[in-house]
Order: sequence, then structure tokens, then C-alpha cells
Amino acid sequence: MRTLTDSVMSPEATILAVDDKKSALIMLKSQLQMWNFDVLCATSGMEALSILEETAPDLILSDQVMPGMDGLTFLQTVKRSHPDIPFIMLTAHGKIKHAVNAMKRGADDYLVRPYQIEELEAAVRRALKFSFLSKENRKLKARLAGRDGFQNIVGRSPWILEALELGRQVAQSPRTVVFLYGESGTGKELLARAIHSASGNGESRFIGVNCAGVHAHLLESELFGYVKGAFTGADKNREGKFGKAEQGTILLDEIGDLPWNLQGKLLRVLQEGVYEKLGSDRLIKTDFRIIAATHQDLAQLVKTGKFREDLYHRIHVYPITLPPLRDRKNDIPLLADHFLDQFRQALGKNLPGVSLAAMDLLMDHPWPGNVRELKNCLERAAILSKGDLIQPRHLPGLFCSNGPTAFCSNEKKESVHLEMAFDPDEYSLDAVINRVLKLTLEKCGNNKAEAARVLKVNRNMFYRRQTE
Amino acid sequence: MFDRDELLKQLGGNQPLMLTFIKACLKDIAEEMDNLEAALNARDWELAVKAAHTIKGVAGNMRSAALAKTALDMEQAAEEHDMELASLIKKKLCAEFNQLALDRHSIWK
Repeated sequence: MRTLTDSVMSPEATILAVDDKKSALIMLKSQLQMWNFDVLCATSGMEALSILEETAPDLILSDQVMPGMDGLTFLQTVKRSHPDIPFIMLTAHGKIKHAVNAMKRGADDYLVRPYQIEELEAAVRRALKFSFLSKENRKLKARLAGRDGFQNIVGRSPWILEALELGRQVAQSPRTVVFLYGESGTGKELLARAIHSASGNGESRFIGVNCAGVHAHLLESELFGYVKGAFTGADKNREGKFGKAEQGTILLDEIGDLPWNLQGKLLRVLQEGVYEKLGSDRLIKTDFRIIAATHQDLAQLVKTGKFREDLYHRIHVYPITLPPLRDRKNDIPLLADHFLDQFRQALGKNLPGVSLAAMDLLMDHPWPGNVRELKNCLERAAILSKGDLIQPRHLPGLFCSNGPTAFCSNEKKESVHLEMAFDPDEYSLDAVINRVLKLTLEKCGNNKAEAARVLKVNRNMFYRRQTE
Repeated sequence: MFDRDELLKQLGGNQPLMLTFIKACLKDIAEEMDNLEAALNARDWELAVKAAHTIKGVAGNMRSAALAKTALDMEQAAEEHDMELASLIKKKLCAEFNQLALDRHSIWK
């Protein structure tokens, strides 16, 4: 494991120095190398950004006044794509207001030229130390938060913040029924667990039931439990999910799929606060919170007669809506950082972050599977990555990066998207067909039979046409 | 025109490196002197400020306090769009730069 001392002293620490003046880079590089740091040099903000596409340094030192992309613009771009890399701005004597401006925009420190070598060393070590401690702090907090905290629901968009605030507030009212609405993969169970945890029920149990995942005739015994002899095969008493959730929380996921006969029984549980095990007359008082969740429009199910209206009103006490990821795309960089942190620990890999090109692809994708899909996508990328930045090539199946001729289809094969660019002289129906064949063939690893299956054509087509 | 000992200290006592560094500084300053002249001729005050600012930075790195001070004066004159003052300071800047170029041989003493 890398220690604090390793981190600020080790030759493994890499520093990116950015200055348009060769003399300044010579000085910076020689000084940093005196302390055994690896130094990467760039003579412009753009060159530095292309270096950042390939590698993630431990620190960036940049001049402020540069032609083209100036230091402040470079700083802001870096802070968007690599918020964890500390950044020291180098500014000239007499321009302290520039330094203040840089600090306001996210620089971690600044140095006024001409600086003393001791000042440079102190600033560099301070920034590396702070960065190391911040990372450690985040790891410890994540470990303490475990799996159940609101901290695990990452996002800064107004919709997600509103959902979290509603969750925090209802956590103080431990018997209020909560209704979570959100598409699949938006984090309904995560929020339910957070509410449970924050309700002071940490010691008690959180029981999740997927109403769509259990066969209708088994669901009743699963929920209520039964006594010996209740039905053929009931050779002993069995606690149901309600019993197991005593003093805790039960999540009834996909409540819209609850069979009609059980809807009446659940209504009684909610109205009277009691239930009976199958085969028993003994009333058991409920002592748990019910959280119901669905991705369906429950009001519409009521209108079509598939869901009881009285039950709808009983569970619709405190609704919270979780937004789909496509409506909070600004949270994608944060979520990516969050998941990469998890995979870093789980895989023991150095995963410095997501490249700008890969981030562009992540930002452009519609994410029909929401945060779960993003997490799966990044997990696959983390496994494929060799410890460098996540690149478009690490996102196979979901994206590809063949420039203007990209063939992309999402995981669920809901749509196929083709982009092609042609020279006007070259453009013809034949050219388009040949390009489609070529792209599909590439996508299928040059397997003509598979490509023919995808395109629903005879494989001979690939032999007849020019696909090279 | 520059503090040799101080510069040597900043470069970890590496004398060959200091020679390389000074050559690079003089080249950078010469480029910016050209930019400054062109900017003043075109009354492009923004570019003039930037050129003077860069000369100030490079001169500071080189531990040439006098040249850095003159470049600062030039930066301020350009910020105030004072052509008369800027022309005077430019002459001083050129003279100091030429002197600096001559003084570079003193590093071998």
C-alpha cells in the first residue's frame, strides 16, 4: 500500500509542468527532478490536455498567461475532467489578483514568480500531501458509510438532491409509508436502504421483496409466513418477510406487479396494522416501515383496473421520485469517480480516471438502464483497463470510436446507430451499402456468418460486395 | 545584470544546466521583444501587456531584477496605453537586454 511518505517523496509521483516558455520548463523540470519526481512537460494548455488523455499525473503546475488556451481556461477544463488532481498556478510578480482568481476557480495553490526553490518544494509537497490525505479521507468515509448511507447516492443535480432531502426528512418518521418511483436502475433500493439506515433502525433488518420476482401463489406465504399444516408441504412454522422485518423496514419492490388478491391483504396490513400467518388466526401487530417502489405509472394501473385505488392512496403517502440518469447527466463525472473508487479497491488497480474522449461518450449515451447501466459499463472498463485512464476502447459493446464511421448499439439492442461520412464524389447507394456491410463485419469481428445474421441477409452478400 | 549565485542555487548548483537555461531565457526574451515591438507599432495594447508580462516572468526566473523591473514598468505603461512612456521604456528594455546577453559569459567566472 502506498503511504503518505511514499506519495510525497516517491519517484512514482508524476508532475505535469505547463508553460509556453521553454526556459521556464527547463527550470521547473530540473528543479522537480532534483526531488526525484517524474516530470511531463507541455508548452500549451491543449498539449497538456492531450497528455491528460493518456495519463493522470499526481500534480499539475501551470503558467497562467499563455497564448491560445490560457492558464485559467486550462484549470477549469482540468477541474471538470480530473477534479482530484491538485493544481498549482504559477503567476508573475504584481499580478496577485490573477492568483486570487485562479484560487476561486479551483486552483489548490499558487506561486508568484520569481519563486524561491524552497517555496516550490514546499508547495509541491503540500499539494501532494493534501491530495493523498483527501483520497484517504474519502476512502475512510466510504468505508464508514458502508452500503446503507445517503452518501452512497451520488449526485448534485437538483432532482437527486430533492429526492435525498425528502428521504432524510421521512427517515425521522419511522412508520410512515414511503412510495419510491423511478425507472429501473435509478437507485430505488439504495434510497430505501438509506432511509432505513437513517431511521435509527441500523440494528434491525432491511428486507427486500421483489413482487415481480416471486411466483404469485408463493408470494403470500413469502410475505406473511405460515404455520405448520397451513397447506400441503407446510411441515413446520415459517416466518414471513413481514415477521423478519420486525422493527425494521420492508421494501416491496415492483409493487405494481402485486397480484390482486394480495393487494387486499396488504391494504389490511396498512389500514389495521395487523396481519396473520397463513393457517393461523393469531393477529400479529405490524412493527415495521413499508417502502413501496415501482417503475410503473401506478395511477395508470388504477385507471385500467389493475391496481386497487384504496391501496394506491394508502401507499401514496410520501412519494419520492428518482430521476433517470438522462435527466441528470451532469452527475455522470461524479458517479464515474464514485464507481472507479469502488473498483479501485475491489480490483486493486490504479484507475486514475476517465479520459475526456471516453467522458464525452458517457455524456452522450442515453443510459436506458440508468445508474446501474453506467456502473456495469465502468466495471467492465475498469477490468479491461491496464491501470491507465478509461478510454473509448475500454467501453466495448456500448460504444466504439471509429470516428465519423462509428457503429454503436446499446446493450439492450434497442437501437442501432450508424454515422457515416462520405466524400460527395464517392457518395452513392452502393457506397452506403458497402460501408454498412464493412462496419457490421468489423463489429462482428470479421465473422461473416454473424454479420449476415445481424443484417438479416445472405452471407454471400459479403463475398459479392466490396467490404475491404 | 543577473544574480549568478542566486540563479545557480535555484538550479541546484548545476552550472552546465545554468548555461542551457540562460540561452533559453535569452531566446524567449528576444522573441517577446519582437512581439512587444510589433504590438506597440500596431497600438495593440493587450498584446503589448502580454509580451511585457512574459519578459518580466522570464527575467525574474533568470534572476535579473533590473530587467524584470523595467518589464514591469513597460507592462504598466501598456496597461495605461501610454505610448510616449512605453517608447522610452522600450529603449531601456532593449539596452538592458543587450547587456544581459553580454553578461551571460560571466557565468564561467
